[in-house]
Amino acid sequence: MSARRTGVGAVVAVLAGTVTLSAPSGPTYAAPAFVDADTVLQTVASGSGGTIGPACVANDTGAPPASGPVPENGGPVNQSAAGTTTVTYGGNPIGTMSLATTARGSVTSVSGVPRTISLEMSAHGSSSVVTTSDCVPDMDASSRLSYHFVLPVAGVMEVSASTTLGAGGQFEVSRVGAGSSPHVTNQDFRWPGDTVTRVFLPAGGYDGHLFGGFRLSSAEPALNAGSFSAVATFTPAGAQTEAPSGKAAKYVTLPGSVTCGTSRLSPTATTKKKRIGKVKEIVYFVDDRKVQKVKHPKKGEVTHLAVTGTKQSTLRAVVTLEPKAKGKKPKELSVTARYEACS
Amino acid sequence: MRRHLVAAVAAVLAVGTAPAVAAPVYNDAQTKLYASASFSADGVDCTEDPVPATPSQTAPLAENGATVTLSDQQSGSGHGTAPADKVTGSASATGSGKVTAAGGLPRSFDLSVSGQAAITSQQATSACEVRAGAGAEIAIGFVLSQSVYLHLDIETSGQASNEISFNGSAGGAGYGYVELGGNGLRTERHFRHLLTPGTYQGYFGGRVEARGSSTTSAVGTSMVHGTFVVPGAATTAPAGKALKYLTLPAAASCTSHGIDTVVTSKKKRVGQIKQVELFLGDARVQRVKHPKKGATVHLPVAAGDASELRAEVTLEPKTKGKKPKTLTATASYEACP
Repeated sequence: MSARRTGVGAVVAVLAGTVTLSAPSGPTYAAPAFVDADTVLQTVASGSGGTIGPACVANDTGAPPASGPVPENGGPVNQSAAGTTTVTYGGNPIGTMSLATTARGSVTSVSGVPRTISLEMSAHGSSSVVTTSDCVPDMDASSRLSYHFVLPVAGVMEVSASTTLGAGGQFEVSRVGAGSSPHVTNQDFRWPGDTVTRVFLPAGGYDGHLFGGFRLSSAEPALNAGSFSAVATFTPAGAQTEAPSGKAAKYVTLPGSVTCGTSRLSPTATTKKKRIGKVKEIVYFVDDRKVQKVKHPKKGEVTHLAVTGTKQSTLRAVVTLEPKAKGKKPKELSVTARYEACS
Repeated sequence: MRRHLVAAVAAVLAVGTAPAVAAPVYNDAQTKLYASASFSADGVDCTEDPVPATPSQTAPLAENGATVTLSDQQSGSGHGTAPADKVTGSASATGSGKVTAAGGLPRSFDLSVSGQAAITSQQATSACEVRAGAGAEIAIGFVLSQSVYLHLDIETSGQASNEISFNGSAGGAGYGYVELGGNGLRTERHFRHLLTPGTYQGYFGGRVEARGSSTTSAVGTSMVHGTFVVPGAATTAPAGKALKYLTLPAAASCTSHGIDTVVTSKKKRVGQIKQVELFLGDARVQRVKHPKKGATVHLPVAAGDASELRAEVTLEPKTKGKKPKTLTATASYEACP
């Protein structure tokens, strides 16, 4: 546990229930979002069974699993592992298999709120085993990033993962210490593909893991490499996910977040007297639907726009300026920002 | 079985011509909708009162048949040793299912479940641990004759739980699976997997359960939507005014790993074209000035990437100095492996 982490304290201990950290000391840093002792990367490559009849003996040699902590905001942790399986049939050697893997895991936070958890793993190997129907050994390579974090606020955890043929992955998140054990688990194997999972998490303590694996089967020696990668990103409920962009930002300020209590977005017209005088009207669009038109807004005028709290929202303001000369076409400017769902 | 007979007859009748009836894709015996509900009251000092259990409901899901809906409910009661210790509970759920196929391939499957459950205890805490739950499930089985992408969308809200198991085998080591679970957290999941030819089974279930020894309730919904898309197929058909000048293909080419757009072969029309710009997503990937008639403009697409194609055709201005007109056309294509 780093010195920085010990400045945390009581908040985490209370929220996480089972965890005790030492008393606050030193400079005031934000509380860590992750519980160090439970945020660990483990990587291994070894024999994993298969079809092993009585005459078939698969002798596995390899290094023990690599294991180590993944410090919050400490940069990615790299691990590797390799193994070899020597196979005999009726006492006669029929070949060897080997599998090597590398993995990289990281966890980050911003101001004491978890931000990302990521795991990438890839494996490659080879097999010279001459298989028979009762002797088809397999080897597995895998890496698991276990985590335990504390959410001071509710929000959305979005997990994007991709898998190549022969590889697979798991994602799990469970509420710590809650009676009816709210949880989500995903597990898939073999088919190439990609997945996106969005889980709405109330504030509280959670644990779980990301896991990536690849299986080398002696029955499919040509399928000798694969990879899995996943990134979980936590966004507080209603937070802005794309900053305002567009030239109308001079004339209207889009809000920093959705007001989740009332499911509203509340943009504000410029407070500059000179600038507001140029504005003929502001039209607001939520998810490309026109929801409000404000003609000649007053300076600093706040407009409240309803959003669907269970969905992400895109807010666009189109500002029409007074024409420079009468009869001229007025200029239109726009500004757009995006927001996470509330619940 | 019935399907197989129909198909066999159709195959005989159709000899020498295009088959009049596509072979069934789903295995009838495996493809069903279920709804069930249960109640239990347990504990050392708890007695569950005898109540007849309602049977679970089952209905076949016919390929391309109408949506089938089933409901089930169960209530019950129990008591502890203290005279005032009485508990009641009930749960009900409604589930709807549908499966479709086209062209000898599965096309979609759907399940929606909504359920509620409640427990009432006369005392703050009963000696009875009560479980009242209800849910629905679809089971499907089918054979794939070619590789397709499966898109699986699952949404769960409230206190619903999911249990999903989908697996298949292309023989030998080719066994794959997707297993999903969850309870009590709102989730939205999208899975896309490339399935190879083989035999597949799936169970997709949603359930709502109230559990405890005090008054409590639970309500929730779960939706499962699966679609199958042939690699490269158009997922949004070509549309837009620029199609007069540039043809967007009916499918991406998985052999040339790209999208082949073709400039109009009409001489008069091609002369009007100043330039063609092609965008994949928001990125411009190709610009051709003054294309030749009938020219093919090939856009490479990386393996595994679905494409959102937008074509912008800028016409020559009608008179010099006038602003040129720009027409657009769009189409979306499934990825190629």
